[in-house]
Amino acid sequence: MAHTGVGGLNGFTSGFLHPISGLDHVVAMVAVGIWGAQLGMPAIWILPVTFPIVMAFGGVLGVYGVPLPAVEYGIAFSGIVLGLMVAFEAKVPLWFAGIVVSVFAIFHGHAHGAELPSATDPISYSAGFVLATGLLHLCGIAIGLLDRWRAGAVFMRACGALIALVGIYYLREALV
Amino acid sequence: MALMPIQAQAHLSGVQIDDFWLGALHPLITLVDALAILALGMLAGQSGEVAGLRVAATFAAMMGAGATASLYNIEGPWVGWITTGSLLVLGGLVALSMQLPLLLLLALAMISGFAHGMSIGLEIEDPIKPWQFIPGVAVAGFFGTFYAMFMVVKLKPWWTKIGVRVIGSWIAAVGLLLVALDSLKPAAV
Repeated sequence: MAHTGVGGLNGFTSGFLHPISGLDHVVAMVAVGIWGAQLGMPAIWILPVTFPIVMAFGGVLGVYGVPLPAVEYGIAFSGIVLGLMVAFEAKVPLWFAGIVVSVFAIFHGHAHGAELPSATDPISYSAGFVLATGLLHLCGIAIGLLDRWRAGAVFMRACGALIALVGIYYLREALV
Repeated sequence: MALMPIQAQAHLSGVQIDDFWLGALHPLITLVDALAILALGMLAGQSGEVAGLRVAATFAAMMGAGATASLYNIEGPWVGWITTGSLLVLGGLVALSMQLPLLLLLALAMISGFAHGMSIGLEIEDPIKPWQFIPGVAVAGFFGTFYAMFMVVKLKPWWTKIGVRVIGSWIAAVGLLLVALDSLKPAAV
């Protein structure tokens, strides 16, 4: 369940490292930022604003111990779907992008929230993983700024393909 | 020395530091209080400079009142709920970029200030002098809220306004998780 490999669930550092130390989390968070940048205004900021809130709802489910079926599959699929959205530069309506992002945010949030009651300093832990998630979105948005150049746009789509491949890898690992 | 152990003290007692400074530091280094100060300041800033000054002053005064009330054992489980819930509410309002009526802003400042002040005051132990500590808390509450408000008012680039909303969403997310966590705690007997 806990994939961070970080010993000691305490404090800001542990919470901050939780999303960062899981490549499955990292690629999905970055993909949200890139996809938002590809979609342009207002998605570029609505998605990173929506994601933490919905992720927190998923975290609440984890805190309450509400079982969410196939969390690892959901996280793996988030990489695949979001990666493909970026790779194909999918121009979808904002409401659709919001729904896609929100569904996956719940899975990611559940994974973080399930470990929250074990944290010796849950406040700092929560702040840590929320901040890390936000910063990963910002990384994706920063990559998305390359969109103004043709080569940059190609690079972004290549990043999306790579993210999708990472998602496929984790899906395979989950299936084994 | 190992044969003569001394009792370990909580972080707010027996500290050889000016009690006013200790009081001023406390809300700024305690994450739940610092985030509430930041969120309220940003919310006040979104509503304009004049509203912001009044909100900062009200919040500071109520922090002092709450800390003072804690000395008289006026407390309850609602303190924890309001302190964590304030992050959810204030952060969410910032994320929504709500320009609220002044009265509502002042009400939010009063309620959250009193609760946060009380939660801080409950940690006062001997030999901390409350009449030095509590003013420090109030001063920190004012300057922290005012600074956050001022920064938001003075932000000019369009993307900074969005950054404020993003930070608000982060604070709201933390608040939501903490409220859920508080709900799991057994009720005090």
